[in-house]
Amino acid sequence: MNEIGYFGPKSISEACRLLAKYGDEARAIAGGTVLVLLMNKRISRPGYLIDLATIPNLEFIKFSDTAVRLGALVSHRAIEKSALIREKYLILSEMAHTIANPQIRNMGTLGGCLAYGEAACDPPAALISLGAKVKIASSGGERVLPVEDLITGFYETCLKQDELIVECAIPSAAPRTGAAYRRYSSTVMEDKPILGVAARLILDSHERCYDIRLGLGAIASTPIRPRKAEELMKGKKISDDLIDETAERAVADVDFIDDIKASAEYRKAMTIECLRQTIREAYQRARSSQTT
Amino acid sequence: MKSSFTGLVQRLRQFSRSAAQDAPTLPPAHDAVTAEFARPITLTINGEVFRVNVATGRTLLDLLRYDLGLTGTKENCRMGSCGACTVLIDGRAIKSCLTLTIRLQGKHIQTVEGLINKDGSLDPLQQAFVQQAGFQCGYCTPGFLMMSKEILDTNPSPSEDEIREGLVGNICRCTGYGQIIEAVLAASRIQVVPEGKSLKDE
Repeated sequence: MNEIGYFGPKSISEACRLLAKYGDEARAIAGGTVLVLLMNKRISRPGYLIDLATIPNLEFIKFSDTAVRLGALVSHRAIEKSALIREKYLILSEMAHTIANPQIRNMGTLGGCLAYGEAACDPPAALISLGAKVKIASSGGERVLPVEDLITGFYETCLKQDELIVECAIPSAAPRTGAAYRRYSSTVMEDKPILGVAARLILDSHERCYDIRLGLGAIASTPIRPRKAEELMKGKKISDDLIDETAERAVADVDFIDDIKASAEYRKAMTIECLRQTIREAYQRARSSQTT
Repeated sequence: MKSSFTGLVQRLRQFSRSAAQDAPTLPPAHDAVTAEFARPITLTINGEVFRVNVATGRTLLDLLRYDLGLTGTKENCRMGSCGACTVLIDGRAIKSCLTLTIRLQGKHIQTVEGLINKDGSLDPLQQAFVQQAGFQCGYCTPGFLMMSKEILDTNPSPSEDEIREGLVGNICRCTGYGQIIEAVLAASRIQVVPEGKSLKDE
């Protein structure tokens, strides 16, 4: 831990330039809950740290009529505690509350979490269900990507060496929208989830399913959006049977993680049950949401 | 029993005095073998300003314990799971084992040594932990105290569930947590009058 260079860039472009210059030897640091852990255990030995916390205006929660934008350096705790997020995006508030523990939530950031590409984390499933997109900056410009396209494998994202996630945007909810997130951990509350499932339902004026988005996280090498299962529900009147069928279909093609925390079989069974409950809860919330 | 409690309180006061309170400047951090990678950082710890030279990889935990002699904060898992290293930065509870000192320019740190009042009287949390026997070996206790402080600072009358949720990031091997929860509940009921002295809420 002796000879590590440190940079505190004052702009995104400066940070991207440094990442490009130092290549594989450089690591961007956001909250540090992952990187410093890996450095403590000598798993990661970066030559240079690029401190993203010195860049101004990356830590924001901005509401507009059409969306909420979350800066990449916004902490999980800020999302959890934001009264407006709780009011307009209850699923995000509840999901953020389940992440790890208060100290880690004070330190860890949304952008850092997404950029890590870890399977067993909470934000991707909930964000996917809300149709969230990330804005990615590099020396060459910016691009926008749906969250479901970001993580490509275990601890792998489509980010290039000099690219940084700078914000995440979530479109505002249409009337009669309800969303819910459930996670399950086979050990203590603050441990990483063995599964995390999210559902966002939009009802039409006859309380049929107008649109549904599902997000499955922590169960496979990448977060999953089970589109075929979504198709089963679209346009239909919602019943317990339909919810059951949708939950079963959602897991049908998934290559479930099999590890020390849970077997693939157990994960699959728990995912189906949690998804049933989550869709039901999203439906109840959609029914009771304001129709203006 | 009363005299052993008094003795315990006296020992708590003794250990709370910072070893570095009289040190005006500090030698360079001993692992900064390559001078170009050690940077001067100014930060405030328990109300006192420190100017330190730190290597990039120097964690706040190591700074506190090994460079400044503030051994109240404990080293344990080094992976952010156990909470023994919990301190407050600008009032927010964080894990100092996962915090790099070099990023803390201008920050205000509070450790367990900073809980005790200037007149030597115990903070309500410390009083309550003593009275409720909220510790056995005491190794996890500084972490629990600092996390509890954040809980009570943001939520002065928490429910038992809120306390339990607030403490999920701290692990105790000895007590089974029961007395810790009682202690935080009891602390929330101790009223503090403006002068900074504490009264028990009878």
